[in-house]
Amino acid sequence: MSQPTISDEDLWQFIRQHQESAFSQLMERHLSSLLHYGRKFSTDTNLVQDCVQDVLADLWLRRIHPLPIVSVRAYLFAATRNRVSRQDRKNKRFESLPDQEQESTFSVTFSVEDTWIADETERDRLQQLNILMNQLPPRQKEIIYLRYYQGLDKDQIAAVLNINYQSVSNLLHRTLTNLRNQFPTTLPVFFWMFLGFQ
Amino acid sequence: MKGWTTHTTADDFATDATFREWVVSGQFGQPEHTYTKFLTEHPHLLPLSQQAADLLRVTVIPADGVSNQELTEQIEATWQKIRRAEEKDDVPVIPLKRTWFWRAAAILVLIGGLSWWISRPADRTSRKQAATWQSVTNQQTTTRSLNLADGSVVWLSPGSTLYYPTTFAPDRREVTLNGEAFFEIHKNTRQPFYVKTSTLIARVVGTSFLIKVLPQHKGTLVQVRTGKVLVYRNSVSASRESPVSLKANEELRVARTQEPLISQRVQNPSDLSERLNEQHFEFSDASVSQVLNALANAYNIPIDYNPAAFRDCQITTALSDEPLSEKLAIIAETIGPGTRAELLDNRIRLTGPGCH
Repeated sequence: MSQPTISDEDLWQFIRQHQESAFSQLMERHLSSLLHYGRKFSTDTNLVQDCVQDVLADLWLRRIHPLPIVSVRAYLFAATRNRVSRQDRKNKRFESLPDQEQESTFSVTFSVEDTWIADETERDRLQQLNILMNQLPPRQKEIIYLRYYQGLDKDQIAAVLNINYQSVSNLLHRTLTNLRNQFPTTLPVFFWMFLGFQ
Repeated sequence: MKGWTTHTTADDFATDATFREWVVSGQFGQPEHTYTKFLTEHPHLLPLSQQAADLLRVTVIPADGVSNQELTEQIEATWQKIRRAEEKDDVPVIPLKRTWFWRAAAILVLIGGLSWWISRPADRTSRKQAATWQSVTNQQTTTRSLNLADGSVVWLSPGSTLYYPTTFAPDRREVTLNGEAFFEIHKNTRQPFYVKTSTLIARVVGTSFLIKVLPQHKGTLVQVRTGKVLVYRNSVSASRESPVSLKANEELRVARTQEPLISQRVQNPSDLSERLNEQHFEFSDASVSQVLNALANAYNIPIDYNPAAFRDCQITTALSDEPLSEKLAIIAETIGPGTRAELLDNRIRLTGPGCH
Protein backbone atom coordinates (compact mmCIF):
# COMPACT_ATOMS: atom_id res chain seq x y z
CA MET A 1 0.00 0.00 0.00
CA SER A 2 2.79 2.44 0.81
CA GLN A 3 5.69 3.23 -1.48
CA PRO A 4 8.81 3.92 0.55
CA THR A 5 10.82 5.52 -2.27
CA ILE A 6 9.54 7.99 -4.77
CA SER A 7 10.90 9.02 -8.15
CA ASP A 8 12.75 12.27 -8.88
CA GLU A 9 9.80 13.44 -10.89
CA ASP A 10 7.35 12.85 -8.02
CA LEU A 11 9.76 14.60 -5.66
CA TRP A 12 9.85 17.50 -8.09
CA GLN A 13 6.06 17.86 -7.77
CA PHE A 14 6.46 18.30 -3.99
CA ILE A 15 9.28 20.76 -4.55
CA ARG A 16 7.02 22.77 -6.81
CA GLN A 17 4.67 22.94 -3.85
CA HIS A 18 7.47 24.50 -1.80
CA GLN A 19 8.22 21.46 0.33
CA GLU A 20 11.71 22.03 1.63
CA SER A 21 12.24 18.55 2.98
CA ALA A 22 11.49 17.12 -0.47
CA PHE A 23 14.23 19.35 -1.87
CA SER A 24 16.66 18.22 0.83
CA GLN A 25 15.88 14.66 -0.17
CA LEU A 26 16.56 15.47 -3.81
CA MET A 27 19.88 17.08 -2.90
CA GLU A 28 20.87 14.09 -0.80
CA ARG A 29 20.10 11.86 -3.73
CA HIS A 30 22.25 13.69 -6.31
CA LEU A 31 24.91 15.65 -4.49
CA SER A 32 27.74 13.12 -4.52
CA SER A 33 27.19 12.33 -8.22
CA LEU A 34 27.27 16.02 -9.07
CA LEU A 35 30.43 16.64 -7.04
CA HIS A 36 32.06 13.65 -8.71
CA TYR A 37 31.08 14.90 -12.16
CA GLY A 38 32.13 18.46 -11.41
CA ARG A 39 35.59 17.35 -10.38
CA LYS A 40 36.15 15.99 -13.86
CA PHE A 41 36.17 19.60 -15.08
CA SER A 42 38.16 21.19 -12.30
CA THR A 43 40.69 20.07 -9.74
CA ASP A 44 39.63 22.89 -7.42
CA THR A 45 37.43 21.09 -4.87
CA ASN A 46 36.10 24.31 -3.35
CA LEU A 47 35.15 25.70 -6.72
CA VAL A 48 33.27 22.50 -7.58
CA GLN A 49 31.41 22.51 -4.27
CA ASP A 50 30.50 26.14 -4.73
CA CYS A 51 29.23 25.56 -8.26
CA VAL A 52 27.14 22.53 -7.27
CA GLN A 53 25.60 24.53 -4.40
CA ASP A 54 24.75 27.32 -6.85
CA VAL A 55 23.19 24.87 -9.29
CA LEU A 56 21.02 23.38 -6.54
CA ALA A 57 20.08 26.75 -5.05
CA ASP A 58 19.06 27.96 -8.52
CA LEU A 59 16.87 24.91 -8.99
CA TRP A 60 15.02 25.66 -5.73
CA LEU A 61 14.64 29.34 -6.54
CA ARG A 62 13.22 28.59 -9.97
CA ARG A 63 11.03 25.72 -8.78
CA ILE A 64 7.80 27.31 -9.99
CA HIS A 65 9.05 27.39 -13.58
CA PRO A 66 8.99 24.30 -15.74
CA LEU A 67 12.28 22.43 -16.08
CA PRO A 68 14.06 23.21 -19.35
CA ILE A 69 15.18 19.56 -19.58
CA VAL A 70 12.83 16.62 -19.16
CA SER A 71 14.61 14.83 -16.35
CA VAL A 72 15.69 16.44 -13.07
CA ARG A 73 18.91 14.42 -12.98
CA ALA A 74 19.87 15.39 -16.54
CA TYR A 75 19.14 19.03 -15.75
CA LEU A 76 21.39 18.94 -12.68
CA PHE A 77 24.21 17.29 -14.63
CA ALA A 78 23.94 19.78 -17.49
CA ALA A 79 23.88 22.77 -15.14
CA THR A 80 26.83 21.46 -13.12
CA ARG A 81 28.81 20.83 -16.29
CA ASN A 82 28.20 24.32 -17.63
CA ARG A 83 28.89 26.14 -14.41
CA VAL A 84 32.00 24.26 -13.33
CA SER A 85 33.68 24.32 -16.73
CA ARG A 86 32.97 28.03 -17.19
CA GLN A 87 34.07 29.02 -13.69
CA ASP A 88 37.19 26.90 -13.88
CA ARG A 89 38.18 28.46 -17.19
CA LYS A 90 37.49 31.94 -15.83
CA ASN A 91 39.79 31.32 -12.86
CA LYS A 92 42.54 29.88 -14.99
CA ARG A 93 42.51 32.81 -17.37
CA PHE A 94 44.37 34.78 -14.72
CA GLU A 95 47.03 32.12 -14.36
CA SER A 96 47.76 30.60 -17.73
CA LEU A 97 48.52 32.72 -20.75
CA PRO A 98 46.79 31.34 -23.81
CA ASP A 99 43.02 31.43 -23.81
CA GLN A 100 42.01 29.18 -26.63
CA GLU A 101 38.89 27.74 -25.10
CA GLN A 102 35.96 29.19 -23.25
CA GLU A 103 35.34 26.11 -21.17
CA SER A 104 37.31 23.38 -19.46
CA THR A 105 36.91 19.93 -20.92
CA PHE A 106 36.08 16.66 -19.25
CA SER A 107 39.17 14.94 -17.96
CA VAL A 108 39.38 11.51 -16.42
CA THR A 109 41.91 8.71 -16.24
CA PHE A 110 40.40 5.27 -16.51
CA SER A 111 42.16 2.61 -14.50
CA VAL A 112 42.12 -1.18 -14.25
CA GLU A 113 40.93 -2.63 -10.99
CA ASP A 114 43.03 -5.67 -10.06
CA THR A 115 40.43 -7.15 -7.77
CA TRP A 116 37.95 -7.29 -10.65
CA ILE A 117 40.20 -9.66 -12.58
CA ALA A 118 40.56 -13.19 -11.28
CA ASP A 119 42.46 -14.57 -14.22
CA GLU A 120 46.15 -13.57 -14.37
CA THR A 121 46.38 -14.13 -18.11
CA GLU A 122 43.67 -11.56 -18.70
CA ARG A 123 45.62 -8.80 -17.02
CA ASP A 124 47.99 -7.86 -19.84
CA ARG A 125 45.25 -7.75 -22.39
CA LEU A 126 43.10 -5.53 -20.17
CA GLN A 127 46.04 -3.21 -19.42
CA GLN A 128 46.47 -2.64 -23.14
CA LEU A 129 42.76 -2.05 -23.61
CA ASN A 130 42.94 0.46 -20.78
CA ILE A 131 45.65 2.42 -22.58
CA LEU A 132 43.43 2.56 -25.65
CA MET A 133 40.45 3.77 -23.66
CA ASN A 134 42.51 6.53 -22.14
CA GLN A 135 43.48 7.72 -25.61
CA LEU A 136 39.84 8.34 -26.56
CA PRO A 137 38.79 11.96 -27.12
CA PRO A 138 37.28 13.71 -24.07
CA ARG A 139 33.73 13.62 -25.41
CA GLN A 140 33.80 9.85 -25.90
CA LYS A 141 35.25 9.37 -22.43
CA GLU A 142 32.56 11.57 -21.00
CA ILE A 143 29.83 9.52 -22.64
CA ILE A 144 31.31 6.32 -21.20
CA TYR A 145 31.48 7.99 -17.80
CA LEU A 146 27.87 9.24 -17.90
CA ARG A 147 26.55 5.95 -19.21
CA TYR A 148 28.45 3.36 -17.19
CA TYR A 149 29.54 5.26 -14.10
CA GLN A 150 26.56 7.56 -13.51
CA GLY A 151 23.96 5.34 -15.13
CA LEU A 152 22.35 8.02 -17.31
CA ASP A 153 20.38 6.80 -20.30
CA LYS A 154 21.10 7.96 -23.83
CA ASP A 155 18.35 10.59 -23.79
CA GLN A 156 19.75 12.12 -20.64
CA ILE A 157 23.31 12.07 -21.96
CA ALA A 158 22.15 13.81 -25.14
CA ALA A 159 20.51 16.51 -23.02
CA VAL A 160 23.56 16.96 -20.79
CA LEU A 161 26.00 17.24 -23.71
CA ASN A 162 23.53 19.19 -25.83
CA ILE A 163 23.91 16.83 -28.79
CA ASN A 164 21.29 14.64 -30.40
CA TYR A 165 20.37 11.12 -29.38
CA GLN A 166 21.81 9.59 -32.53
CA SER A 167 25.25 11.07 -31.85
CA VAL A 168 25.29 9.56 -28.37
CA SER A 169 24.25 6.21 -29.79
CA ASN A 170 26.87 6.34 -32.52
CA LEU A 171 29.69 7.35 -30.20
CA LEU A 172 28.83 4.61 -27.72
CA HIS A 173 28.63 2.05 -30.49
CA ARG A 174 31.95 3.17 -31.91
CA THR A 175 33.63 2.87 -28.54
CA LEU A 176 32.32 -0.62 -27.99
CA THR A 177 33.23 -1.88 -31.45
CA ASN A 178 36.66 -0.33 -30.99
CA LEU A 179 37.12 -2.64 -28.07
CA ARG A 180 36.19 -5.62 -30.17
CA ASN A 181 38.31 -4.69 -33.16
CA GLN A 182 41.43 -4.20 -31.16
CA PHE A 183 41.66 -7.83 -30.16
CA PRO A 184 39.46 -9.76 -32.49
CA THR A 185 41.03 -13.15 -31.97
CA THR A 186 41.83 -13.13 -28.29
CA LEU A 187 38.46 -11.84 -27.17
CA PRO A 188 36.30 -14.88 -26.63
CA VAL A 189 39.31 -17.10 -26.10
CA PHE A 190 38.52 -17.84 -22.52
CA PHE A 191 35.09 -19.15 -23.22
CA TRP A 192 36.14 -21.25 -26.18
CA MET A 193 38.80 -22.86 -24.05
CA PHE A 194 36.24 -23.60 -21.43
CA LEU A 195 33.91 -25.12 -23.98
CA GLY A 196 36.75 -27.19 -25.41
CA PHE A 197 37.44 -28.82 -22.08
CA GLN A 198 33.87 -29.86 -21.55
CA MET B 1 20.23 -13.53 -15.10
CA LYS B 2 17.07 -14.76 -16.80
CA GLY B 3 16.70 -11.38 -18.50
CA TRP B 4 20.11 -11.79 -20.09
CA THR B 5 18.72 -13.86 -22.94
CA THR B 6 16.97 -10.76 -24.29
CA HIS B 7 20.16 -8.65 -24.28
CA THR B 8 21.17 -7.71 -27.81
CA THR B 9 24.10 -5.34 -27.23
CA ALA B 10 27.15 -5.11 -25.02
CA ASP B 11 25.56 -1.95 -23.64
CA ASP B 12 22.67 -4.03 -22.29
CA PHE B 13 25.14 -6.12 -20.33
CA ALA B 14 27.29 -3.21 -19.17
CA THR B 15 24.25 -1.52 -17.61
CA ASP B 16 22.72 -4.69 -16.14
CA ALA B 17 22.97 -4.51 -12.34
CA THR B 18 23.45 -8.26 -11.81
CA PHE B 19 26.07 -8.46 -14.53
CA ARG B 20 27.97 -5.46 -13.12
CA GLU B 21 28.02 -6.99 -9.64
CA TRP B 22 29.45 -10.14 -11.13
CA VAL B 23 32.22 -8.21 -12.90
CA VAL B 24 33.04 -6.18 -9.80
CA SER B 25 33.25 -9.37 -7.74
CA GLY B 26 36.17 -10.49 -9.94
CA GLN B 27 34.39 -13.74 -10.69
CA PHE B 28 33.58 -12.96 -14.31
CA GLY B 29 34.40 -15.95 -16.52
CA GLN B 30 35.38 -18.23 -13.66
CA PRO B 31 34.61 -21.74 -15.02
CA GLU B 32 32.68 -23.00 -12.01
CA HIS B 33 30.48 -19.89 -11.70
CA THR B 34 26.73 -20.31 -12.38
CA TYR B 35 26.70 -17.24 -14.64
CA THR B 36 29.61 -18.57 -16.70
CA LYS B 37 27.76 -21.83 -17.19
CA PHE B 38 24.64 -19.90 -18.14
CA LEU B 39 26.53 -17.90 -20.75
CA THR B 40 28.19 -20.96 -22.28
CA GLU B 41 24.73 -22.44 -22.66
CA HIS B 42 23.77 -19.30 -24.63
CA PRO B 43 26.83 -18.90 -26.88
CA HIS B 44 25.37 -15.96 -28.83
CA LEU B 45 25.69 -13.91 -25.63
CA LEU B 46 29.39 -14.70 -25.15
CA PRO B 47 30.92 -11.93 -27.31
CA LEU B 48 28.52 -9.33 -25.96
CA SER B 49 29.18 -10.21 -22.33
CA GLN B 50 32.93 -10.42 -22.92
CA GLN B 51 32.92 -6.98 -24.51
CA ALA B 52 30.87 -5.52 -21.67
CA ALA B 53 33.09 -7.08 -19.01
CA ASP B 54 36.20 -5.76 -20.77
CA LEU B 55 34.73 -2.31 -20.99
CA LEU B 56 33.79 -2.19 -17.33
CA ARG B 57 37.14 -3.55 -16.22
CA VAL B 58 39.26 -1.09 -18.19
CA THR B 59 37.29 2.08 -17.45
CA VAL B 60 37.33 2.03 -13.66
CA ILE B 61 36.95 5.44 -12.03
CA PRO B 62 37.55 5.80 -8.33
CA ALA B 63 34.70 7.21 -6.24
CA ASP B 64 35.41 10.39 -4.29
CA GLY B 65 33.90 8.91 -1.17
CA VAL B 66 31.80 11.83 0.01
CA SER B 67 31.06 11.15 3.67
CA ASN B 68 27.61 11.61 5.16
CA GLN B 69 28.98 14.51 7.15
CA GLU B 70 30.24 16.29 4.01
CA LEU B 71 26.94 15.62 2.31
CA THR B 72 25.10 17.16 5.23
CA GLU B 73 27.39 20.19 5.17
CA GLN B 74 26.85 20.68 1.46
CA ILE B 75 23.07 20.50 1.84
CA GLU B 76 23.17 23.00 4.70
CA ALA B 77 25.47 25.34 2.75
CA THR B 78 23.04 25.22 -0.18
CA TRP B 79 20.12 26.12 2.08
CA GLN B 80 22.11 29.09 3.39
CA LYS B 81 22.70 30.29 -0.17
CA ILE B 82 18.99 29.90 -0.84
CA ARG B 83 18.06 31.88 2.30
CA ARG B 84 20.39 34.71 1.32
CA ALA B 85 18.95 34.83 -2.19
CA GLU B 86 15.37 34.72 -0.91
CA GLU B 87 16.01 37.53 1.54
CA LYS B 88 17.51 39.64 -1.20
CA ASP B 89 14.49 39.15 -3.42
CA ASP B 90 11.53 39.12 -1.11
CA VAL B 91 12.04 41.30 1.93
CA PRO B 92 11.00 44.85 1.27
CA VAL B 93 13.45 47.38 2.69
CA ILE B 94 11.70 49.63 5.16
CA PRO B 95 13.66 52.76 5.98
CA LEU B 96 14.15 53.15 9.71
CA LYS B 97 13.71 56.55 11.30
CA ARG B 98 16.93 57.51 12.94
CA THR B 99 15.77 57.96 16.44
CA TRP B 100 17.16 56.61 19.65
CA PHE B 101 14.11 54.40 19.95
CA TRP B 102 14.85 52.49 16.79
CA ARG B 103 18.51 52.14 17.66
CA ALA B 104 17.64 50.79 21.08
CA ALA B 105 15.12 48.45 19.55
CA ALA B 106 17.64 47.25 17.01
CA ILE B 107 20.19 46.56 19.72
CA LEU B 108 17.60 44.67 21.76
CA VAL B 109 16.67 42.57 18.76
CA LEU B 110 20.32 41.91 18.07
CA ILE B 111 20.95 40.80 21.63
CA GLY B 112 17.83 38.66 21.55
CA GLY B 113 18.89 37.11 18.28
CA LEU B 114 22.40 36.47 19.49
CA SER B 115 21.30 34.83 22.71
CA TRP B 116 18.85 32.73 20.75
CA TRP B 117 21.60 31.76 18.33
CA ILE B 118 23.93 30.81 21.16
CA SER B 119 21.33 28.93 23.15
CA ARG B 120 19.64 27.25 20.23
CA PRO B 121 19.48 23.52 20.78
CA ALA B 122 22.11 21.39 19.09
CA ASP B 123 19.45 19.21 17.54
CA ARG B 124 18.99 21.73 14.76
CA THR B 125 21.66 19.78 12.93
CA SER B 126 19.32 16.82 12.62
CA ARG B 127 17.31 18.92 10.17
CA LYS B 128 20.03 18.25 7.66
CA GLN B 129 19.31 14.56 7.58
CA ALA B 130 16.77 14.79 4.85
CA ALA B 131 13.70 12.75 5.64
CA THR B 132 12.36 10.19 3.23
CA TRP B 133 8.95 10.95 1.82
CA GLN B 134 6.41 8.23 1.54
CA SER B 135 2.77 7.98 0.64
CA VAL B 136 -0.20 6.02 1.86
CA THR B 137 -3.36 5.62 -0.17
CA ASN B 138 -6.48 4.33 1.54
CA GLN B 139 -7.75 1.65 -0.80
CA GLN B 140 -10.30 0.37 1.69
CA THR B 141 -13.93 1.41 1.71
CA THR B 142 -13.78 2.82 5.23
CA THR B 143 -11.75 5.52 6.94
CA ARG B 144 -8.25 4.43 7.82
CA SER B 145 -6.14 5.71 10.71
CA LEU B 146 -2.53 6.68 10.22
CA ASN B 147 -0.13 7.36 13.10
CA LEU B 148 2.48 10.00 12.29
CA ALA B 149 5.94 10.16 13.85
CA ASP B 150 4.97 13.11 16.10
CA GLY B 151 1.95 11.40 17.72
CA SER B 152 -0.61 13.02 15.44
CA VAL B 153 -3.32 10.82 13.94
CA VAL B 154 -4.69 11.24 10.43
CA TRP B 155 -8.04 9.67 9.54
CA LEU B 156 -7.75 9.12 5.82
CA SER B 157 -10.98 8.79 3.82
CA PRO B 158 -11.34 6.08 1.17
CA GLY B 159 -9.45 6.83 -2.05
CA SER B 160 -7.37 9.61 -0.44
CA THR B 161 -3.60 9.83 -0.34
CA LEU B 162 -1.33 11.36 2.28
CA TYR B 163 2.32 12.11 1.54
CA TYR B 164 4.49 12.46 4.62
CA PRO B 165 8.13 12.17 5.70
CA THR B 166 9.26 9.32 7.95
CA THR B 167 10.61 11.91 10.38
CA PHE B 168 9.70 15.57 10.63
CA ALA B 169 12.15 18.47 10.53
CA PRO B 170 12.75 19.93 14.00
CA ASP B 171 11.10 23.23 13.14
CA ARG B 172 8.16 22.10 11.03
CA ARG B 173 5.91 19.17 10.29
CA GLU B 174 4.77 18.99 6.66
CA VAL B 175 2.39 16.67 4.88
CA THR B 176 0.58 16.82 1.54
CA LEU B 177 -2.97 15.63 1.08
CA ASN B 178 -4.85 14.50 -1.96
CA GLY B 179 -8.46 13.75 -1.08
CA GLU B 180 -10.04 14.02 2.36
CA ALA B 181 -8.71 13.50 5.86
CA PHE B 182 -9.53 14.41 9.43
CA PHE B 183 -6.44 15.55 11.31
CA GLU B 184 -5.84 15.26 15.02
CA ILE B 185 -2.63 17.16 15.55
CA HIS B 186 -0.33 16.64 18.49
CA LYS B 187 0.23 20.02 20.14
CA ASN B 188 3.75 21.38 19.72
CA THR B 189 4.12 25.14 19.44
CA ARG B 190 7.76 24.87 18.38
CA GLN B 191 7.00 22.65 15.43
CA PRO B 192 3.97 23.91 13.53
CA PHE B 193 2.11 21.42 11.39
CA TYR B 194 1.45 22.22 7.71
CA VAL B 195 -1.02 20.46 5.47
CA LYS B 196 -0.68 21.30 1.80
CA THR B 197 -3.09 20.64 -1.01
CA SER B 198 -3.03 21.93 -4.55
CA THR B 199 -4.79 25.13 -3.52
CA LEU B 200 -4.05 25.81 0.15
CA ILE B 201 -1.62 25.50 3.00
CA ALA B 202 -3.07 25.07 6.49
CA ARG B 203 -0.83 25.86 9.44
CA VAL B 204 -1.69 24.62 12.91
CA VAL B 205 0.02 24.07 16.22
CA GLY B 206 -2.30 21.53 17.76
CA THR B 207 -5.96 21.04 16.95
CA SER B 208 -8.39 18.84 15.07
CA PHE B 209 -9.81 19.68 11.68
CA LEU B 210 -10.94 18.26 8.38
CA ILE B 211 -9.44 18.99 4.99
CA LYS B 212 -11.17 17.93 1.82
CA VAL B 213 -9.89 18.46 -1.70
CA LEU B 214 -13.11 18.98 -3.64
CA PRO B 215 -13.66 17.23 -6.96
CA GLN B 216 -13.83 19.04 -10.29
CA HIS B 217 -11.26 21.65 -9.28
CA LYS B 218 -13.61 23.32 -6.85
CA GLY B 219 -10.74 23.92 -4.46
CA THR B 220 -10.16 22.67 -0.94
CA LEU B 221 -12.44 22.82 2.09
CA VAL B 222 -11.15 23.23 5.65
CA GLN B 223 -13.44 22.58 8.62
CA VAL B 224 -12.10 23.26 12.09
CA ARG B 225 -13.42 21.21 14.98
CA THR B 226 -11.19 22.46 17.78
CA GLY B 227 -8.39 24.98 18.12
CA LYS B 228 -7.25 27.37 15.43
CA VAL B 229 -6.05 26.92 11.86
CA LEU B 230 -4.30 29.49 9.68
CA VAL B 231 -5.10 29.06 6.00
CA TYR B 232 -2.88 30.37 3.20
CA ARG B 233 -3.51 30.17 -0.48
CA ASN B 234 -0.97 27.79 -2.06
CA SER B 235 0.04 30.07 -4.86
CA VAL B 236 3.13 32.13 -5.40
CA SER B 237 1.28 35.12 -6.79
CA ALA B 238 -0.84 35.29 -3.64
CA SER B 239 2.13 35.50 -1.29
CA ARG B 240 1.19 39.02 -0.24
CA GLU B 241 -2.34 38.01 0.73
CA SER B 242 -2.68 37.57 4.46
CA PRO B 243 -3.79 34.20 5.78
CA VAL B 244 -7.26 33.61 7.19
CA SER B 245 -7.51 32.48 10.77
CA LEU B 246 -10.21 29.87 11.36
CA LYS B 247 -11.61 29.11 14.80
CA ALA B 248 -13.54 26.08 16.03
CA ASN B 249 -16.70 25.34 14.04
CA GLU B 250 -15.62 27.55 11.16
CA GLU B 251 -14.97 26.49 7.62
CA LEU B 252 -13.37 27.99 4.52
CA ARG B 253 -13.15 26.99 0.89
CA VAL B 254 -10.09 27.90 -1.13
CA ALA B 255 -10.54 27.65 -4.87
CA ARG B 256 -7.95 28.02 -7.57
CA THR B 257 -9.42 31.24 -8.79
CA GLN B 258 -8.65 34.39 -6.91
CA GLU B 259 -12.01 34.68 -5.18
CA PRO B 260 -11.71 36.21 -1.71
CA LEU B 261 -11.18 33.95 1.31
CA ILE B 262 -14.28 34.20 3.52
CA SER B 263 -14.90 31.96 6.48
CA GLN B 264 -18.31 30.82 7.66
CA ARG B 265 -19.83 28.48 10.23
CA VAL B 266 -19.38 24.81 9.41
CA GLN B 267 -22.28 23.75 7.17
CA ASN B 268 -21.97 19.97 6.88
CA PRO B 269 -19.62 18.60 9.52
CA SER B 270 -17.96 15.26 8.78
CA ASP B 271 -19.29 12.13 10.49
CA LEU B 272 -16.20 11.77 12.62
CA SER B 273 -16.21 15.33 13.92
CA GLU B 274 -19.93 15.10 14.63
CA ARG B 275 -19.48 11.94 16.65
CA LEU B 276 -16.56 13.52 18.50
CA ASN B 277 -18.70 16.59 19.24
CA GLU B 278 -21.44 14.41 20.71
CA GLN B 279 -19.12 12.57 23.07
CA HIS B 280 -17.84 14.06 26.30
CA PHE B 281 -14.84 12.12 27.35
CA GLU B 282 -15.16 12.88 31.02
CA PHE B 283 -15.12 9.85 33.24
CA SER B 284 -15.34 9.44 36.98
CA ASP B 285 -14.89 5.96 38.42
CA ALA B 286 -15.77 4.54 35.03
CA SER B 287 -14.96 0.99 33.97
CA VAL B 288 -12.38 0.34 31.27
CA SER B 289 -15.04 -1.00 28.95
CA GLN B 290 -17.12 2.17 29.35
CA VAL B 291 -14.15 4.36 28.44
CA LEU B 292 -13.01 2.22 25.54
CA ASN B 293 -16.51 1.85 24.18
CA ALA B 294 -16.96 5.60 24.21
CA LEU B 295 -13.78 5.97 22.17
CA ALA B 296 -14.59 3.08 19.87
CA ASN B 297 -18.03 4.53 19.16
CA ALA B 298 -16.74 8.02 18.51
CA TYR B 299 -13.96 6.89 16.20
CA ASN B 300 -15.95 3.98 14.80
CA ILE B 301 -13.19 1.40 15.22
CA PRO B 302 -13.00 -1.95 17.05
CA ILE B 303 -11.19 -2.68 20.33
CA ASP B 304 -8.86 -5.61 21.08
CA TYR B 305 -8.54 -6.35 24.77
CA ASN B 306 -9.35 -8.86 27.44
CA PRO B 307 -12.25 -7.37 29.46
CA ALA B 308 -11.69 -9.84 32.32
CA ALA B 309 -8.14 -8.62 32.94
CA PHE B 310 -9.28 -5.02 33.36
CA ARG B 311 -12.52 -5.79 35.22
CA ASP B 312 -11.32 -4.24 38.49
CA CYS B 313 -9.97 -1.01 36.99
CA GLN B 314 -11.69 2.29 37.61
CA ILE B 315 -10.86 5.33 35.57
CA THR B 316 -11.33 8.97 36.36
CA THR B 317 -10.08 11.25 33.66
CA ALA B 318 -11.05 14.02 31.26
CA LEU B 319 -10.00 13.84 27.64
CA SER B 320 -10.36 16.67 25.18
CA ASP B 321 -9.10 17.17 21.64
CA GLU B 322 -5.84 15.24 21.84
CA PRO B 323 -5.16 12.80 18.99
CA LEU B 324 -6.62 9.36 19.71
CA SER B 325 -3.15 7.91 20.23
CA GLU B 326 -2.60 10.44 23.02
CA LYS B 327 -6.00 9.79 24.57
CA LEU B 328 -5.04 6.12 24.72
CA ALA B 329 -1.69 6.94 26.31
CA ILE B 330 -3.49 8.95 29.00
CA ILE B 331 -5.86 6.06 29.66
CA ALA B 332 -2.97 3.59 29.87
CA GLU B 333 -1.22 5.80 32.36
CA THR B 334 -4.41 6.12 34.42
CA ILE B 335 -4.85 2.35 34.57
CA GLY B 336 -1.35 1.77 35.85
CA PRO B 337 2.20 0.63 35.09
CA GLY B 338 2.70 -2.03 32.44
CA THR B 339 -0.42 -1.00 30.55
CA ARG B 340 -0.24 -0.27 26.83
CA ALA B 341 -3.08 1.26 24.89
CA GLU B 342 -2.35 1.82 21.22
CA LEU B 343 -3.96 2.61 17.93
CA LEU B 344 -2.79 -0.12 15.56
CA ASP B 345 -4.14 -0.77 12.08
CA ASN B 346 -7.43 0.93 12.71
CA ARG B 347 -7.98 -0.91 16.00
CA ILE B 348 -7.60 0.08 19.62
CA ARG B 349 -5.46 -2.43 21.42
CA LEU B 350 -5.18 -2.57 25.20
CA THR B 351 -2.75 -4.91 26.95
CA GLY B 352 -1.34 -5.10 30.46
CA PRO B 353 -1.55 -6.73 33.84
CA GLY B 354 -4.86 -5.08 34.80
CA CYS B 355 -5.68 -3.82 38.30
CA HIS B 356 -5.67 -5.85 41.53
